[in-house]
Amino acid sequence: MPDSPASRPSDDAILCRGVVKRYDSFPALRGVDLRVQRGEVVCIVGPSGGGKSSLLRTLNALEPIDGGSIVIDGVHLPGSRADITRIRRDVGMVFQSFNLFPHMTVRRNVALAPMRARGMPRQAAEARAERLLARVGIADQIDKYPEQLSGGQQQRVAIARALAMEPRIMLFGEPTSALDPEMVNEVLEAMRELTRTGMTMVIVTHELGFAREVADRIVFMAEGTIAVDAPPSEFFAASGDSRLAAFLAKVL
Amino acid sequence: MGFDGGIILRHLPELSAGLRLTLLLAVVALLVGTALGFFGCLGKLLGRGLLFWIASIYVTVMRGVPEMVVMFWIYYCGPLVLGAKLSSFAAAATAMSLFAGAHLAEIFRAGILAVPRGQSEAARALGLPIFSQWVEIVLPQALRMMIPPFIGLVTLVIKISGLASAIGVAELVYEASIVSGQTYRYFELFSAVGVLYFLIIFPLSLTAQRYERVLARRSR
Repeated sequence: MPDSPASRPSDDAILCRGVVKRYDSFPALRGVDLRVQRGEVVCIVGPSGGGKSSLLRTLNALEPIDGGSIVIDGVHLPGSRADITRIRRDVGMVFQSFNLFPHMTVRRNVALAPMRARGMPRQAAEARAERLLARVGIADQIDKYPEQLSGGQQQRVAIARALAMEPRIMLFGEPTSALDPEMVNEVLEAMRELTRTGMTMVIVTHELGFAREVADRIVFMAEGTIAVDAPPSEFFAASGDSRLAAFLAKVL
Repeated sequence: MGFDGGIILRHLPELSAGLRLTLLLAVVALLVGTALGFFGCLGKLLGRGLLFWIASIYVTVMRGVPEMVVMFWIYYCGPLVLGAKLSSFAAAATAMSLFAGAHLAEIFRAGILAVPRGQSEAARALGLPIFSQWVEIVLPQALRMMIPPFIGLVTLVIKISGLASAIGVAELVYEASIVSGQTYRYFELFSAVGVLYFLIIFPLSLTAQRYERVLARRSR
């Protein structure tokens, strides 16, 4: 490896150590340790207010952390502005509320970031957008505006938009929670397809069946800490944590 | 004493001269006010320490003091405080600019804050440069939401320009009072003035209403 050993320390895509996050005085994360290896798919589940979303948002520095450290693909957080930009360009994020840009066509939504953040020529960026939109099954909607699409279609555009930056890690924040039930599957199918490409993925979700199917590990968060971190086969059998037992009893 | 429309026609030159000055006052106030509003909004949104306080005090004071008092204050107290006497037009234009600027600062700020947080988060998460985040994502959406209140302020500025007559600016209301004072034809002249204001303001209000409906439909 030509780089210094510090910049490529391991196979870890994500390494969190003792991460603390407070909102005013409320501790959303109280010392989270999490390790995600390259190519791993990790699902985070748990009751709301348990810190799942906060953790996800610290991973691309949408929320600055108040303690501990995070290493994303060799770049450390807290870090400089340049480090943060680098992380954001290499980490894709899909939000619960899609957050597509409403004043732009689907094509432009997907092509914009490669042009502005990677200096890609417009034609190449739009060609990439077409390819990615075909991949998530909505090539025929490319000239429409987000408001003309269903929720499921919008979320698939959002996935394509994140993929357009060719990220090495994809973060999903409850990507199906805002969808009508009949649209959940089309989004899960797009994500399922992504897991087969070997993409490193961290998924906050309430879809336990999906988590069981695609995850290499399932992480249960409650009260700002990781209470259980296990492969699916062990996760659902884990009765050691009373909070997990209570959670599973409620949602299963 | 009937309504003599001829009197209006005979004094049309005075009225149109007044109207011209009314519109000039409004245009100056809106142009200068837009610049003031831009800095006021910037100061309140992004300013730290002194800049934030200057912007906040400016906006709060100018929105809390009657327009006429500001105008009188600048015209009569200006010489004492600044040592320079402004012409009545300059004093009126200054007061109206300050008034428009304070309101525009709030209109701009409200427009920017009305853009859902998720928009700038998505832009940041994609690693867009800061310039692009603002110019391509936040501002285009904010500007749309600013249009109806902006038009509302334009109509307000045109309406309050009549106050300038009190310090001797020969705008529409002033011309009408002079002419009606000479002819005792208040009925005709102030009816005409009312119609003139209405003809300017009503289409603007209609535009704002129509645009508001478009916005309402867009936001589902």
